[in-house]
Amino acid sequence: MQKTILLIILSCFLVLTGIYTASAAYKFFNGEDWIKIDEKTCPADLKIQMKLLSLKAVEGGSMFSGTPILAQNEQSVNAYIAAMDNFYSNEANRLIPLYFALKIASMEKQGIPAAQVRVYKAAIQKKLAN
Amino acid sequence: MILVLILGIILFTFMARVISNTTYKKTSYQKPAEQQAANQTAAPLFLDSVDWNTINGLQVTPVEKTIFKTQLLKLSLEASIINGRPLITPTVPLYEYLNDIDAFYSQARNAKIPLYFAIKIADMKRSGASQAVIEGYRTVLVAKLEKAGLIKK
Repeated sequence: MQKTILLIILSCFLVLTGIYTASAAYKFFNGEDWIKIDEKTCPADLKIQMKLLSLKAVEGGSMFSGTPILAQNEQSVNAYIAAMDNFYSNEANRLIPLYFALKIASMEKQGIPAAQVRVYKAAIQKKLAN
Repeated sequence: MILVLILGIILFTFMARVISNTTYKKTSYQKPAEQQAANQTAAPLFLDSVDWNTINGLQVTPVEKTIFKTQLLKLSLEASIINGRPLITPTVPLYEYLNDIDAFYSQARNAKIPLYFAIKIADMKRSGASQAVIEGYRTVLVAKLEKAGLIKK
């Protein structure tokens, strides 16, 4: 039941975001942009700071628009930098927007069953492929 | 097409309400942001003038700073779009908001205001809102954020 609800919800906002992106030829901030931070010729701590600011921008945007990505008990986004690095090191994940990558990492951290996370991720990838 | 869109929005709204009552989601989709944030016990995670000014101090080229700042605006906006409540509907490229946000954060009284709302205020200004309207919005916003414990008095 929970899985079905999750899929329906995901389908709905993917349709909405799909319409938005189609109408504006919009490209979300995704793994390609994340990897570009690593490609910069600046010190490693600066890259980490830029990644941290990026994650804070996503979390701030999601929190103030009504749905925080990270759970209440998660004190810091620092731990998610490594998770994003790992996620986007897989080329198959590069086109997934940072918002969804962070959501997936949060789901995993919350202990959501791996099968459910896979379904969520597959739905995003399928939509992006179309 | 329009009918499909309307049906999609109705379905999305309905399902968001349903899921907010399940144990999976810890937060509701429809609560106002400030109310929702008030329920959080963890340190709030959002950008403000401290972060914005940090970027100004980064040892990167001015062009890179502009690109990075624009990306932060883009990320904030994208999150709101995906959540179904777009923060703004920009009619100009996002980098054109940067000067307004720099000017906004150059005032000490705005230092605590989250970037998310700085973007909103910059957009109001661009859309021709009067200073009185902007000031009214700012006053209410600050009061709500303070009450929610997201910014200090």
